[in-house]
Amino acid sequence: MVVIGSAQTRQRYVSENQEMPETLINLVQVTKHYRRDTIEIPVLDNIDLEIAPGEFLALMGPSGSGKTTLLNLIAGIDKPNSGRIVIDGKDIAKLGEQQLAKWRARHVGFIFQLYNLIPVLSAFENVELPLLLTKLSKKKRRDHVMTALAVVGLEDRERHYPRQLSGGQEQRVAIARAIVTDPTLLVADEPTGDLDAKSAEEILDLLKRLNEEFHKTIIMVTHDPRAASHAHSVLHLEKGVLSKSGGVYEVPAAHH
Amino acid sequence: MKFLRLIIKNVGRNKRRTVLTVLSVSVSVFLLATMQAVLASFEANPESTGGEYRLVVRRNTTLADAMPEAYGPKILQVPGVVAISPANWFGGVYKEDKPFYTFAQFYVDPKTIFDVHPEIQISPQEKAAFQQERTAAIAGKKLFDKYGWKLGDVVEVKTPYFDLNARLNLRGMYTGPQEDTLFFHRAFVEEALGRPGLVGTFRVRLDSPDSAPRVMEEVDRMFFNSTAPTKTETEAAFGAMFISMLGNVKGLIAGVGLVVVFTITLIGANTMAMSARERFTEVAVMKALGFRPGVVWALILSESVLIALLGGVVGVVGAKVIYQFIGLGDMMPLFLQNMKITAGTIALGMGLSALIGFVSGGIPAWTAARIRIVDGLRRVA
Repeated sequence: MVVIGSAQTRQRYVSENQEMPETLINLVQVTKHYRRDTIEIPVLDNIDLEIAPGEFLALMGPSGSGKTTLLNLIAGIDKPNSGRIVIDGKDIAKLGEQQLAKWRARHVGFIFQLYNLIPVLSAFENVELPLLLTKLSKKKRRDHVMTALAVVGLEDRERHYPRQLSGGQEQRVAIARAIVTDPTLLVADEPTGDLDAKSAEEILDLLKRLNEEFHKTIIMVTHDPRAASHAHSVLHLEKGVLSKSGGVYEVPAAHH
Repeated sequence: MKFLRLIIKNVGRNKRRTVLTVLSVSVSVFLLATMQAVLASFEANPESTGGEYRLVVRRNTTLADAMPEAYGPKILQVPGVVAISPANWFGGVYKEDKPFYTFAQFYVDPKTIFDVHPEIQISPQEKAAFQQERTAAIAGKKLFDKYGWKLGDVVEVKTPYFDLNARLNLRGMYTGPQEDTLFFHRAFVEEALGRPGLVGTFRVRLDSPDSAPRVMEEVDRMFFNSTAPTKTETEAAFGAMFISMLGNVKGLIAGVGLVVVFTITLIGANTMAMSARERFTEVAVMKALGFRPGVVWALILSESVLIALLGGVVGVVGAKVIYQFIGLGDMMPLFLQNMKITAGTIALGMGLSALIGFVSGGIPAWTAARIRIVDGLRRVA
């Protein structure tokens, strides 16, 4: 379920056979603007958004529309100028830097367009990185990492370094890193933007699998309608305003 | 400890840069160790045992001036003086005029020298052989070892100060606090020079260290109105005079050392800043994954300190090997031949390298830790 609009103009998008579920992410009157010297550049304008747990949401929109900013706000790596961002009952907009770091480590898995693996670390070590912040023993960390690598189908590449992997494999390692802590939410910023069509399809299938089999809530920013077609819901962001109409890609039936 | 692997891997990220940084820090630490060894060498000289029982009488002008040998019996009359022995610096050249072949040579009275310097340990037979033969000489074990001398060898030293080529027969090897000196007969040189009867220094042995101030005053008063007034001082003060002559050199060494350390710190800071700057996106990713700024700061700072400590190890080990194991110190000028890398010097070198690591890594680490995640990610996107 995805709900956009204020309390007065709420538009719920729920599948016909779906009951109204609880809300995992709730954005209330979220505004974000950047300042360049003395000029204020508005990015997000009073965004209201509810996302249910287990949702796979695609955010689309032209460059500069604010979709990455919205993703960053939900992921807790940026702060709104006003409004509330309540995730799993906690208003993360009110958290300090330290608390927010701790919250991210526990609740958010990140998937980036350019994978952003640490080049001097092996696939195993890259996936292990978020677990270094936990109190897990070395053995348990190993178990978790190998499970995550198995989920993405790369358990045999644990000793490979990023430069020894293809782009698709690198992104799969990045996905393993994102899921290794079993986070509440996966955020993906153009996860297929740097991949060829075949690898992109594999990554999208993997995300879909994570959503369907492991019930991961996924928010994915994309320019690619084909990528968006893998999501349950597609929202369009233009000039800081969220809508389902207009630029929404009509999801082909075959993908549902 | 779980972060150690991450730190080590980051240190090895750009191997050439790491090696060059390690080497630059090691040069700085090596220089510091050398400075310390030089200073230790200066200060090692007055440490001869029994020095507190000895005075040195010399001319009150310069060491180049001498005193009449007739002063000896007069000084011996001063209450508190139990023995006296004349000793003149010969300053000869052995084989070649190079630091390796430079060592102290004194022509002395072969009998009284042992009364004044009881710390000179020599067998009675060798002592007797030395005392009986006018061209005999004794040398410290260190010189025997250094030049491969054996008893019975002829050692030839030429002095540039007066035209004299001393061919000496090695009759004894002594051990003691200063084993790098050659002693031979005063009479031999005096005779060769036409008996000028001049003495460079008188070595005086006291009945008690407490007598020193009074004896010093009495001796100098005794010759105050003569044509060759004296200056009497403790052996420690006499040794310190040589060090004080090097005061400016010490200052220069310390100054150059500080400049080098400062420069290396700047180079290190630049390197660490470069390294951190290259990794802003990675830092942003790590922060996004939940690494707190303090952890990021500690990780980057640890890299800097680790690199600097590696440099420190190379520096002190290099100094130890060069000055002690290879014995390069022996090729130094005479007053630097006791260069030693002590535990204190090692600790100081490692402390300095850690400091370089902290200072050079602190600000880049802080800058990286404070980077906004969205800014760091935007660098690539």
